Amino acid sequence: MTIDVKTLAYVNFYAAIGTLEKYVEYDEKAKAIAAQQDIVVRFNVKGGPDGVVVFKDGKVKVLPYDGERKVDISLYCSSCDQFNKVVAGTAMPIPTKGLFKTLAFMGKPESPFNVLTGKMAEIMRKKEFASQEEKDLSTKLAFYAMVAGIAEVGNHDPIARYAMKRILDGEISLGIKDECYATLVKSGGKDDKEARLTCIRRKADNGRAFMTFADLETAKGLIDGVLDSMACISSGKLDTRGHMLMLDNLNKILNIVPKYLA
Amino acid sequence: MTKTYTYENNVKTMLRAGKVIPCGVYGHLGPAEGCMIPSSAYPFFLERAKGSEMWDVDGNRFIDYMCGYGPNVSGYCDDEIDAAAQAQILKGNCTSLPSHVMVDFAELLTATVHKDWAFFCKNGGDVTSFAIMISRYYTGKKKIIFVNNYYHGVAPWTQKPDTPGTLWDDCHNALYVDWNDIEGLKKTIEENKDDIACFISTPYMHGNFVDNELPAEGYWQAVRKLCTDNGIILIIDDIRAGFRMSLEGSDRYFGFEADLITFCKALANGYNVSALCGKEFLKGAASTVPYTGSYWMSAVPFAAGIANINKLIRNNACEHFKAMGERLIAGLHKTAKELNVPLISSGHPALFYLRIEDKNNNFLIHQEWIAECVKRGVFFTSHHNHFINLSLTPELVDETVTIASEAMEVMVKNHPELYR
Repeated sequence: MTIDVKTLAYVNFYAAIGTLEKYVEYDEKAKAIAAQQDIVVRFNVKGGPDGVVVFKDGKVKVLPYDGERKVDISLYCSSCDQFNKVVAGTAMPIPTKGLFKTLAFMGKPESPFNVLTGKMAEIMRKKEFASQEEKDLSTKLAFYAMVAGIAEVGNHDPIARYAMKRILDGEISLGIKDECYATLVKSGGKDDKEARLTCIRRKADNGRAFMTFADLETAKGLIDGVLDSMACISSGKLDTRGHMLMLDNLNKILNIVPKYLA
Repeated sequence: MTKTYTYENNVKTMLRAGKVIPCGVYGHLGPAEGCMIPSSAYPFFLERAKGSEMWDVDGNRFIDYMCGYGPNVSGYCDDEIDAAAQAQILKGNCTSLPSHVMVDFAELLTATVHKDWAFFCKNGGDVTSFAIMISRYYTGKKKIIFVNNYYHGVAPWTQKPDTPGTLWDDCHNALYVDWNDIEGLKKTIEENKDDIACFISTPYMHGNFVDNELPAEGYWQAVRKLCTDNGIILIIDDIRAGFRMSLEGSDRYFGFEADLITFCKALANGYNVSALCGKEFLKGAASTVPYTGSYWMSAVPFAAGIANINKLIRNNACEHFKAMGERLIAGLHKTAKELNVPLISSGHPALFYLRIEDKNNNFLIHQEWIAECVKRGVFFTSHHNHFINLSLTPELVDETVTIASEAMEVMVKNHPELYR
């Protein structure tokens, strides 16, 4: 499968960096680092995402740039490819506002943004864990990255977009039973310009379709590709119910997500 | 209150299956296809089946309304049909030359469905694919008109570009229209004039996950005329509905004539054979397009098919299917009305489709009711049409209504917020 650089840029911003929202919520050390920041950073990627990472009161929000929000740092990437290299740590963005703040916030390996994103990525990619708690955190972060990844891949990858448009409008609930939940909201019908998926990192209010992992172990196995999803449905480890056609099309996107989150 | 079933051996067997078979049970008979919700309410493996009943590996008994998703048309393990098959086994099955029973079967089938020739394969997808190939060869055109909510098998030409294993190129020649939409069909034909090989459709819209729809008055006659006027081959996929509404083919049932018609499920009561039947003018094309398979001329299914069709004719099978379907639907609606449950039934009574309407439009209430039915011994599925077979008796239908009514009462009690 071909990786679309534009889709990858959106996944990197909203699914990878976006999972900082949950990382600082779950991890006390991360929360402490975030609590010391009061800053809005804009990533303006030509032909790709234009969004802000907001650090406020120990919380992080990753949002599309609305054109009005006051930003402290503005970083420009001349292409999606360049932004993807920035995320991979092999390139630097061009600061167009807040040069000194940029240096302090993300200029060195020990700068807060780099520490947070680096540690989060390390936990998500780990195969051996020091504790069950660390393993569970890794699974939860991977879950949120996956759900946000579904939204971005569905909105931008050419093949996945075909499936996304055919999802009926409404909320799809995804969750790890009794642990964590997220919602994908489909809107815009089948219209090529209007149809889109939005990820909300909380439980659905009015779900039309439901996909729930029985436990963290199952979620981890499925996200890592160690377990087979069909086998998990058969064994009851993956519960699917509600409007199954919504999930059917969602699964087609989900099949494509791992190549972007690898 | 009926004791609900448990499935210890089913789960154990599924765990074994998952180790050596993709999905454990792949395809439409498996829980991964979205019709068994939740999968914990359903059995996965059978020990035996007879007539309209089946027993799973835990010894649970079910009255079965899926009928193997169609092939069980005369009753599981029907003595008469199985005897014909066993007699043929003693004479030979998959041999270096076909048995003469192939000719006997072709004569019986073409006479029954009023077509000029029959070509035998194994599965429904074999014959829908062959129908497309014949249409393209005969017309020299490439595009296929599908009706939305269709199912014509799993070959790449039937799929969408986002289906795993399918390429964009596989779907380039697909055109889509809505069911019962003659104006939409006219527009599609006009926009693709001189490039359309065929129009393929089931005789009525019996798609999964949606209420089924019968043809509007004059619909098929209008489609027939448009196809004739524009040199488009009219293919009826009668794999699911064939021999359920009429033994003469569903095109006849709805008062028109298809150029090609496919049969499979109800052809031989579970013995593996499918058939493409067609008009004389396409016989040359069917002879020319290369198409064959190792088991396509096996004699046992032909012998079973002959016995099956003769049994269906002799017993006025379609009248029985309709009567039993109507009896069941009436019983279910009576309970639903008493409990204020908005039950909707659609499609032909022989292939009835059920749905409980809910304000959240998420099927959860319907899925809960169906699951309660299954756990008490009535094998329904949530989002697929059901099937009636010849062995189904009024007594079994009445028992079904009793069980399904109890299941509905349980569902209603679980939701006082909806049903007061």
